[in-house]
Amino acid sequence: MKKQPETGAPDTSGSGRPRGQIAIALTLTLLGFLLATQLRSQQGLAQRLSIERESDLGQILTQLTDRSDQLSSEIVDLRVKLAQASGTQAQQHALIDDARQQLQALQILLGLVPVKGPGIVMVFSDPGGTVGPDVLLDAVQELRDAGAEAIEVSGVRAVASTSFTGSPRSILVNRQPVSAPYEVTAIGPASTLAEAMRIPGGVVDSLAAHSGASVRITEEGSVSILHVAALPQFVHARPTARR
Amino acid sequence: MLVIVSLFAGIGLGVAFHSAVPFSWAPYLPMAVMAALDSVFGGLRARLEGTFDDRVFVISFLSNAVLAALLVWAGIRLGVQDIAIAVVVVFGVRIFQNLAAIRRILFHA
Repeated sequence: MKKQPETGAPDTSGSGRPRGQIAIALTLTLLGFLLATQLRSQQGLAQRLSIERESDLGQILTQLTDRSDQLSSEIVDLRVKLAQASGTQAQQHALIDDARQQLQALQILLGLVPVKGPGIVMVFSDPGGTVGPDVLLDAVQELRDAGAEAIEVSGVRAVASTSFTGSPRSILVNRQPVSAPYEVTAIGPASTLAEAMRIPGGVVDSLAAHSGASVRITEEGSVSILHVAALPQFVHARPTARR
Repeated sequence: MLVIVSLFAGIGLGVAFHSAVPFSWAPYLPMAVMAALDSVFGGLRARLEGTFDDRVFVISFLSNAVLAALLVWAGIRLGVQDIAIAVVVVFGVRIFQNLAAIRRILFHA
């Protein structure tokens, strides 16, 4: 605190009382604070708006309102698009799921994938050499009729295009030679399949006509068919429009 | 000397912490500043006239600022926002009177 010499000039250090000095100092600090705050808060606004006339401000307001309207309608448009897109996506998901299920079914039907499940195993023993391809074909047909979902004959996957040719002792399944004992594995409702084999006039019955041949049927909780068929190549058949 | 130092200290604080002031103060701050300026010029005039009293100065400073802010607040509450103009005019006139008095003392004119 500096005391000015007592002259006629105004004394800038106040009345001399320390408390008064502090009060004045605090007050002036407050003034500075208020001034600075106010100036700073007005600066940005003032720079932008004070130079504009009322009509210009009106114009700016109109422009901003227009822009705001534009953006609002854009938001609505985008919302609609978003809703459409997500709807399409859900549809596509459903389609893909459908297609996947279809693919799985077709893969099993065409024997393209190894399968596993409950079923039966039949073993045809043919010491006399009297069992012909017709017996195996009959068995496969009967199994299909009884609800077999996948069938394998002595290591060959039986599918729609599988053929049974040849003669007893040299049976060809899909032109592949197989020899006795012939083993037929089928996946499906095990007891139904076994019963279908044993019905009167069925596979087991007719096999009795062949001398020396016999069949053993075992129901299994889980059998595996690991052999797969080759994907058929279609040369002549072409899909056409449904009528 | 003290006057200038504390004034600049306040300005420094204001610059440093201006963002700490709530936005809702916006209508009141300018009125308080006007009132404070009026008090300061009044104080300067009193100093030059030899009638300066620090108690009067401090109290008038604070009460003027607070009253001005209160007046604006009351105006907003009553729906007469233009009461701020009245405050501005009153303090503006008083600032001018004080400045005129200071001028007369300093320049004898």
